Amino acid sequence: MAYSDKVIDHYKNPRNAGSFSKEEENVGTGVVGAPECGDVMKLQIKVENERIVDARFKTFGCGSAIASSSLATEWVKGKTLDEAMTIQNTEIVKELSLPPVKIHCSVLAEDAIKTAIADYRKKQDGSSGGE
Amino acid sequence: MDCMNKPLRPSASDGEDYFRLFGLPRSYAIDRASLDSAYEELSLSCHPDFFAAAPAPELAAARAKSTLVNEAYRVLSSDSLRAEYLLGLLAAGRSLDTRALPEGFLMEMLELQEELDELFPPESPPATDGPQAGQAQRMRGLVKERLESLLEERRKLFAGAGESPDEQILRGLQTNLNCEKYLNRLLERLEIIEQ
Repeated sequence: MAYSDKVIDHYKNPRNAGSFSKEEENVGTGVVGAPECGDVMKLQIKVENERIVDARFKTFGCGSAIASSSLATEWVKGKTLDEAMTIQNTEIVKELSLPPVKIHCSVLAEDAIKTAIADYRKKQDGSSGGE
Repeated sequence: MDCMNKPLRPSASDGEDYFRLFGLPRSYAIDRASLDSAYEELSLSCHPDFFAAAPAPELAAARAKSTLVNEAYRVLSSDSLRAEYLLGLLAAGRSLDTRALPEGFLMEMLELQEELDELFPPESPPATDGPQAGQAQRMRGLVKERLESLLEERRKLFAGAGESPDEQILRGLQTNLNCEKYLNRLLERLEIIEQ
């Protein structure tokens, strides 16, 4: 099955590939996996005043998984945490023209965004409610 | 064995399943010799070639049966597929958490993948000799060891599962199967690196 041009573009020129230090106070890290295929995806957000100012990803998986996470980092940048929470995997499917067998890749990217946000919020709760 | 007397689609509900199709006990531990000989016997008994002159419905039934027997053999002869299939039978309609993993497992998989990235950058030549090959071998050994202990745990879980295992055992088995997929993925990558 052929990948769409957009998937190939993200695969060849991934946006925001890499990592932040996950120890950083204003970084949220989401690590998720797809048991269907063993893909692992890490998505990180850097947050200032409830707004995502930067993002990184690292994905070990197929082209669709890489493209989905690459696109996800593009989309979250500039959004508030609440706005980023509303990103749906179906939007990723549409943008990348993913075939049905690759829908789980977009689900993974959505999960990664939500997990990263949850991780950031947990960190903030931990540091503000503390001693 | 008479091929036509068996229902074409075994399902757990009517007590028919791939194990029974081959006259084997419903268990993870499997006697390969018995499986192989039962497969041979069954597939001969319903091979479409022998029904070429038979009336159309009989030929169609033989074709369907033959397909079923091949699929059943494919599943039962693979440790992973047999485990997955048996877990489905044991769960008997109860829903399983198909994402279940041990705490920290994904992070560990990510770190192993990152280690592979560092050891073998995308443009590097295949690690067929020298220190690179040694590193690849070391990683492979690590992953293989993990896979072996997973299989050992799986054998124990299935052995203690009985006919209607509790949620905890089902969850343990599902977790075990999930872990295997991630480790196999690492192994595949190592194979490419070593080529």
